[in-house]
Amino acid sequence: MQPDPLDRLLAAAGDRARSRSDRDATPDRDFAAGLRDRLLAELPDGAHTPRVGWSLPHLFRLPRMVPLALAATLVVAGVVGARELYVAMGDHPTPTPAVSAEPTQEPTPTLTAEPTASASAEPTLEPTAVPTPEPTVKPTPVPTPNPTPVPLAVMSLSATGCDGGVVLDWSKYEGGAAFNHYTTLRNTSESIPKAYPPQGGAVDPGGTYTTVLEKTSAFDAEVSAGTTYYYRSMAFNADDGVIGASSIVSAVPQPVASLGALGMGAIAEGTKLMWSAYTGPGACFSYYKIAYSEEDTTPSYLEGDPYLAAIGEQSASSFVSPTGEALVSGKTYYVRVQVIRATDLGGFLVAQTDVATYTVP
Amino acid sequence: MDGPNGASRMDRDRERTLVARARSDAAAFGELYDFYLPRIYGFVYRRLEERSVAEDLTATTFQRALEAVRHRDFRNDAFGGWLYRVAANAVIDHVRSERRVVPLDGADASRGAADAFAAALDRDELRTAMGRLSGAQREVLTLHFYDDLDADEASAVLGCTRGTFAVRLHRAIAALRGAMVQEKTDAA
Repeated sequence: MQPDPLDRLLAAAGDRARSRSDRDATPDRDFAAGLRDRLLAELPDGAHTPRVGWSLPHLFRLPRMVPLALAATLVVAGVVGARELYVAMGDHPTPTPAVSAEPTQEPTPTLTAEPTASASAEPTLEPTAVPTPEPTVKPTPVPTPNPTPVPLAVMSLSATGCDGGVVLDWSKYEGGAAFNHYTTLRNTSESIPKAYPPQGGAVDPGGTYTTVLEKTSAFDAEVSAGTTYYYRSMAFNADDGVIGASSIVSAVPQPVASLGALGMGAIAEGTKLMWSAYTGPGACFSYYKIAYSEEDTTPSYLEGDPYLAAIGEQSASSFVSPTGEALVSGKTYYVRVQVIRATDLGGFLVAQTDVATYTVP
Repeated sequence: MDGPNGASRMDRDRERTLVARARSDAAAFGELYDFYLPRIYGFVYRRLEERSVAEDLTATTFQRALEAVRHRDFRNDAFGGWLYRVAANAVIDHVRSERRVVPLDGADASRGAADAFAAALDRDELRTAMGRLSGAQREVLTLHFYDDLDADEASAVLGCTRGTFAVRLHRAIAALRGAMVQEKTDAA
């Protein structure tokens, strides 16, 4: 099959654009090598040279290490007392939360450098006079509080089984975590763990992912009519961690409905189109689109074909295309009326008439 | 459906093998890193055009990748797509942090790349037609033709199925064709 000329034009433009940005869009060699070294040092491989010094990822992880180190320090402090702890630490560097970009000294635990006057030490007749500096002068490391886990925000979800698909409508995420995106998962059984990637037989049906907090509706049209589907909407942070979730709801979609034949005829004002109004639930109707084409024998609004009109009144059953506008005298057109259900993340086909072939007189 | 430069793909079986081994083998992760680093860096750079930010977000992406492959439950079926998705999320988070008030769509975060792609189009009517498309349609075309992502990777970035991506790409090209016709009509 010959490639589409437009495809070729776009591919060539992509090649050109990439080659223009090639130099800038190539990672610096030192950066690439440094990052590689740091990452690989974290994986078990005896042959790999251990990392030396500190790295950016280590700084990222430091906040998680610091509370542990400090908690251990505080336990020791509880046993021997702050004064003894100070003596034990002597002048060794205190592990403090990293504030400089390039720490040069690994904070190693120093528990053996100096003898302590702890109760467990063997009593001696002539105790060594150990100088006891004021314990309050040196700042005691303040433990960084463990970040309180943000509870999952509760979201609501409604799933409406329509002709042609399922409409999903969830509530906006209003929790305290950093929102990144929404996704709704689907299953054919009532089990959808609050996790991504999907688990337990759940799948990502596609088309429900959005990073816009205010977009709270989508659809699922890749379904089999008559099957019961279960859904759960979730909000995620940038790591695909769940920060909000709805309960599981179900819906049963039906096949795309037929509106029967589309009648077309000439009247004084232009071309009149007549069809049977869509009688399905209002929750499944957004508008009629009258798609037409000179070449495409199955014109479709969702496939990008032009349309004569968009009509938001569900009970509408006729339309007049004025003379001299879209339909040109002497030309033959393929036309059909389609019912579309629109959501924040696009629309799907709910019902349509048969295609009418009409030559404008 | 593969992108324009299909030869630059990692063999899927090879990728799965490497991901499975990477949990306990630095060399396997290193091979994944060597293959994807320039791609992920380029993907981020084309959107933000700031070397230091691209380096930070690339480092964050691979750090997450490392943590993910070490996790026993990591789903080992489309590592490349997953990596692009993490990078895209990081870009969105970065742009959002720069513009705290404006609601941000994924297409919005791709605008820099879409503009660079449109600028490379060598026909005026094509450039103008591209400007008539929605942000989402431009994003689909940019991912496929400029970022050179295959259907698995692009669908992961968009959070949709491979089939949905194919439909969106088809519609975007159809819309572009329609916009070009409209452009010619308007010009006549």
